[in-house]
Amino acid sequence: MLRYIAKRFVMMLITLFIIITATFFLMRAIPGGPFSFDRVLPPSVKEALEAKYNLNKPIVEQYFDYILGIVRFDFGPSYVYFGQTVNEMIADGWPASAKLAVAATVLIILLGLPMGIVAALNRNKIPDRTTMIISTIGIVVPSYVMATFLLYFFSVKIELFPTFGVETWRGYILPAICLAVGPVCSIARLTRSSMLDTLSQDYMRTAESKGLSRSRIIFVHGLRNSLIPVTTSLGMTFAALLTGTFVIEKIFAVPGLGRYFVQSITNRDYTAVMALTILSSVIMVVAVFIIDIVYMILDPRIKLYEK
Amino acid sequence: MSDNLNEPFVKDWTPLQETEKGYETTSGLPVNYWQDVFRRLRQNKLAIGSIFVIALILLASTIGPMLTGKSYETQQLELRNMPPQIEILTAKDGTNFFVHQDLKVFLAEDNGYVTEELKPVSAKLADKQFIYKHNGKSYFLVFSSEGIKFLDENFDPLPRRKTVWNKNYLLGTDSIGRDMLTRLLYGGRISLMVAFVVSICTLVIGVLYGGIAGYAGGNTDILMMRIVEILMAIPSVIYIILLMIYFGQGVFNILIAMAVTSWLGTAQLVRGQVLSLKEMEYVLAAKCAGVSSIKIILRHLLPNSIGPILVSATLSIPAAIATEAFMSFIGLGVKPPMPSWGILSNEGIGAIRSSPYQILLPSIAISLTMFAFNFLGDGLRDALDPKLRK
Repeated sequence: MLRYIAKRFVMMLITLFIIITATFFLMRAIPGGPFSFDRVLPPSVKEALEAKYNLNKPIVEQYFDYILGIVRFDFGPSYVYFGQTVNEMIADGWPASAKLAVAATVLIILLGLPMGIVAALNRNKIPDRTTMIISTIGIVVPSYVMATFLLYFFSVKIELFPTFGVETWRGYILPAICLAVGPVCSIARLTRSSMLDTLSQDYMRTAESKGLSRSRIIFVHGLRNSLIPVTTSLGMTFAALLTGTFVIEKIFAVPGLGRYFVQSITNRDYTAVMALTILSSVIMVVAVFIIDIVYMILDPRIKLYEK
Repeated sequence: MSDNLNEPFVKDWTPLQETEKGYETTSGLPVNYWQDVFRRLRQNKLAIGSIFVIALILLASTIGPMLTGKSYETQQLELRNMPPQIEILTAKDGTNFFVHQDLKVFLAEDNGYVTEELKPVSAKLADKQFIYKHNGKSYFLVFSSEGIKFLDENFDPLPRRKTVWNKNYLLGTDSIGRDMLTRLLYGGRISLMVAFVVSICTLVIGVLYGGIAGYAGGNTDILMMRIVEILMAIPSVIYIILLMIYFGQGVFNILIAMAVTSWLGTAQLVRGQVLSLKEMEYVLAAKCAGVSSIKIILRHLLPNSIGPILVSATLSIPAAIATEAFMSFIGLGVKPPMPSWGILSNEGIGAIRSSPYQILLPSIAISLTMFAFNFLGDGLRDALDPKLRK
């Protein structure tokens, strides 16, 4: 087990290294550079700018400086908003994204799990069919199209929620719903199939023949075992939501990391783009690593498949 | 009851009618695998319906833009934000007006053609009033927080006659006066083309990579698959974004950016298939007969794993449409003024309050296409391998 964890850890480090390297050189290779404005700068100003941001050093030195900075969690200054560091901007945007992510995850747990359980317990009956139809819609329709429809209906037609902004808690409701719809549906499907799998196991029949109560059979013997794959999927979803979502934040004007990412792409704020790319990849990669280990602890049978 | 058990109880039995007689039925001609697949697919109404919808969308987006008679980039600024349906107001002398929500007045025909914009002769902005003159009569446009009123010279509101379809622009115009219908159809052409090309590229790269890794096995396989695993750990959207920043906007660029990031899943799938198939006797037979490795992969292994590959290709099309729309939506996809469904959504979202049709139309188009391809993919999967049905 330790060997496996160590192997996965090394893989994770290699992945992170590749991500950082590729991001750095891709951004450096973009023609023009960060200070090629429409207005031509006097050479002396340009030189001073490049010296200030260490762009006059050899590229390899810049690269190592950058890696050292990342290890210290320092992403350097912003190229567009002078006098502001990328760290400050991340600290600025993260709370809104994190609040949305938490709200959406709560929704996913509160809706997705019961939907899946009810569907599995009523296999091929009306609740099951309904859940399957709803979840197909939720998985197929892209989140921003869903956002459009919800926004049109709830904010324009019946004016229940604000069209944009998160000044009040009401502003969080629609974006959280939009973020949650897709994952709710896939979690419901996953819970259903995992639950069906568990229900057909021999130990369920044993539990039944022991004379245990139905609720105990379903919740203790059935649910606990079928939640293992669901937990890992939930973890991944939460990690993905945590770094902000580009489109939902843009549509609802949530001042979060995702909208900031899109903004820095439009502004060609290279350090910010690099920082956000690396940040979200790191969170995803680390989340996958942690989830793999948690999975192994939750389900000891997983060791059977490991060499 | 009779003592003699051998004697049949004739009175309890009635002879069968001729039609009730069940003769031994023989099954139809033996069918091969693909005929069986088609038979199963035909039974799936959703999948068949999807095929028709896809055919319709393909037809509309290929020849549709030529039939509308308008260009996707011609702007008519005076006719911007024209809705698909217009409300005709008729004055006493029979003149038809269309009052636009942007405080503009147009002359219209009662069948839905908007002929020209009527310019106000004077404006009293303090009274929130515009004054128009047409055929020697005066009309007043009064606007307040309650809405817009169009009054004749006696200050009576003009009767609302009827709501008709906008004949100049069937689906209205966008915020700079371009025809929505043409843009929607042309956008479909771009979105579908990107999706198909990306899906084909994914297929070619994935099949070759996975086929080679699976067939070679051993250390080559381990190395090649490690690379795939590492690349898979990186969220693909982020890499498409980085590549697009590097390449710049454009149809060709988004094709490349999406193609280089989307083949990983197909490669893993094909490798798994090849790995299990290459131990089969017919592969051994081919090897003994001296067939080259490339030929074994292309002639024996791939045709036998075509089913799952086909399903994954079908399902990769909606995924590609979604990714392209998403990239265009955040401004890193197709380069405007060329439309794609993502670009149209991006342009429409700002006007969701005033002109909701501008965002709803592309959203409906995307959803419809996504549904059709997903249902077809699911149907194909069920038809190809009934065991996989959940």
